[in-house]
Amino acid sequence: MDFLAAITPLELMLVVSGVMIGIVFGAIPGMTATMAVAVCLPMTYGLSLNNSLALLLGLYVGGISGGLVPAILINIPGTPSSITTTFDGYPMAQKGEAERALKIGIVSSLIGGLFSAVVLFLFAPALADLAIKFSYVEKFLIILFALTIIASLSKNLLNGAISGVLGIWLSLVGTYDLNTGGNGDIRLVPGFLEDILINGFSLLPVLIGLFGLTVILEEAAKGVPPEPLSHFKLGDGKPFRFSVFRGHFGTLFRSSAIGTFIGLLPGIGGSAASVLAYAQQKNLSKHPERLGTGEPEGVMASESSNNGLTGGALIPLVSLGIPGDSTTAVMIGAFTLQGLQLGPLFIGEHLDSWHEIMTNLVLANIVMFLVMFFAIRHIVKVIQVPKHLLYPLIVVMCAVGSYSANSGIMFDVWTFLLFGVFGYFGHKVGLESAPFIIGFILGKDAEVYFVKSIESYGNLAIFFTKSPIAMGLWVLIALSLGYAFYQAWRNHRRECGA
Amino acid sequence: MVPEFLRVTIDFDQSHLFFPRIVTWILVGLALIGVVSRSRAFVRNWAGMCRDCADAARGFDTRRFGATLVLLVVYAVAMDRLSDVWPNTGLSFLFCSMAFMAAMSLLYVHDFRRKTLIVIGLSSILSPLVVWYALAKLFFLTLP
Repeated sequence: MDFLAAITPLELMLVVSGVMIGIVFGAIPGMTATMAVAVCLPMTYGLSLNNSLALLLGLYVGGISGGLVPAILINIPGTPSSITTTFDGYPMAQKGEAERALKIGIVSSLIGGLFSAVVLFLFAPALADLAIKFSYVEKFLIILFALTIIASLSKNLLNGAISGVLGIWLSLVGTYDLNTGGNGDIRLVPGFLEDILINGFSLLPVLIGLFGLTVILEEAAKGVPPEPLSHFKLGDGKPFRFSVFRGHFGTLFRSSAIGTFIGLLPGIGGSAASVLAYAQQKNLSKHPERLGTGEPEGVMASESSNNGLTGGALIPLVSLGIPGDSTTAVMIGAFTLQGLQLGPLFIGEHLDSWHEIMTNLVLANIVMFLVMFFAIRHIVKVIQVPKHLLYPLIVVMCAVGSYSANSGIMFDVWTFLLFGVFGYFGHKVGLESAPFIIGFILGKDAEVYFVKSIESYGNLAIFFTKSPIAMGLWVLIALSLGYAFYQAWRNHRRECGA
Repeated sequence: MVPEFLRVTIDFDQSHLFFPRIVTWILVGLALIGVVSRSRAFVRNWAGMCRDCADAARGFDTRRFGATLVLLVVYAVAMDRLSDVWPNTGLSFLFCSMAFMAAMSLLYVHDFRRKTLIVIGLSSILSPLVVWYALAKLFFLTLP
């Protein structure tokens, strides 16, 4: 427990600030935890790694948790992962039980978050120990597996695949790095842009543009509709009592486990976790017909699963260097800024930072609970913050974050604008941000592992025959593709039948 | 024994193109599949898709969207140019952000009451000032 005593007052303050800012972002419909982390990245430039982690994990947990506020009060999910909270939370609010629903959601979020932290603590080092034995071949196959999962669980298989491959393609723009065994030549860049694209597109401006600016452009296209100032009441119906959880420990445990498992899969957002947990709840509930009419167990399932995602998404991040969701993808940017490489060696070589991650994750969940549970009457006012004041400030933060990412390069601001606009039009033609960004992050590593494997062994068969792990990974790849094709076929049949 | 067709050698001088070529071909292949499947869907249901497009166009706020794009470009260009006037001080960022925030807030606001305009004015001056002070003076970050 030594590391608990090592929390400095500054770290505590950063966790609290991160949670509070995250809650604000999560509670405003259209803004997400990913956006909170992207927008606040510039604040980490002047902080040490441990302090950055405190802030970012606070933002992550706060951002995911804040989404329940508008979901319950005005039937609009603050974040995509709160979509199923609206199903029972809003009907409860209409019955005059808004405060009770909010508090059930907050406690469930705490349980989901702590459950996932325990799984992270137990599972990440074991996965890292296994991954440390991987050669270039297995590392390439892990990335291939991650990309096939992302594509197969996307809304549309083809769009997900195109998004992921496009992300890889754009990550290859620039020089084939000498430091990774490349030949130092430039590729995929027209001659007149060679000077500015010699190092390709920087990760941070791309992330900030995609997750910060795209949302604002989408809102602008809709005319920035005035806020639903809403005449919500917290209600004076049934008061909240912890006894509401009696008989629902199975729900909390199962939904937290589903959320954590979904978090483990790269690129799958919290909405998939909460939808899956809610569907399971409906299957296993004693009164499935009541779900959707204002049942507390619906809120419990949804909120424990989406917070269960947080620790789950950190498992592949710290043990394999593969982000579990879009928010942890943005966090990779913070680690890169600090000169740290996430992957199998991370836990062993940076034990302090690993303990910091664990401590701050638990702390962030506790702070989230305390802040939201006891100040919920004030937090609900966040929904009323006018977007015409908030959006310009977000653009300013994004611009300065992009500019400072590489210590002052104006091209990074243009990259941020370019990818913001690209994200907007990409969404219009069906491209998906999560597969794209994960492809972008993993593209260069995929190239190094693929080319080095071939240079070492001189044949393609090695990808299938290198080791039992490689064969096992091919089975997983085949299963994820098989699942994707089955889903696509089922959707097609449903559409034809409709 | 590895079959001959599975043997691959990479010429080091051309190694920077090896993986990008594979990715490019995969991307082109997927894009072609996408174009073909969408064209088939369009041919089957062109009337419905045209109706969807028309509906989407009706809800599109051209003025706010277009003006946002223009403001973003002007903001970036102005910040870049003025940073030559006040190099390494962050003042270019500060003044451009004030003007940008005021313009964007006025573009997005729906209710032009006096109180709203005062809040916009205060927010446009104070927010960039706080960001500038925190990042440039406390964290010593390079700002334009």
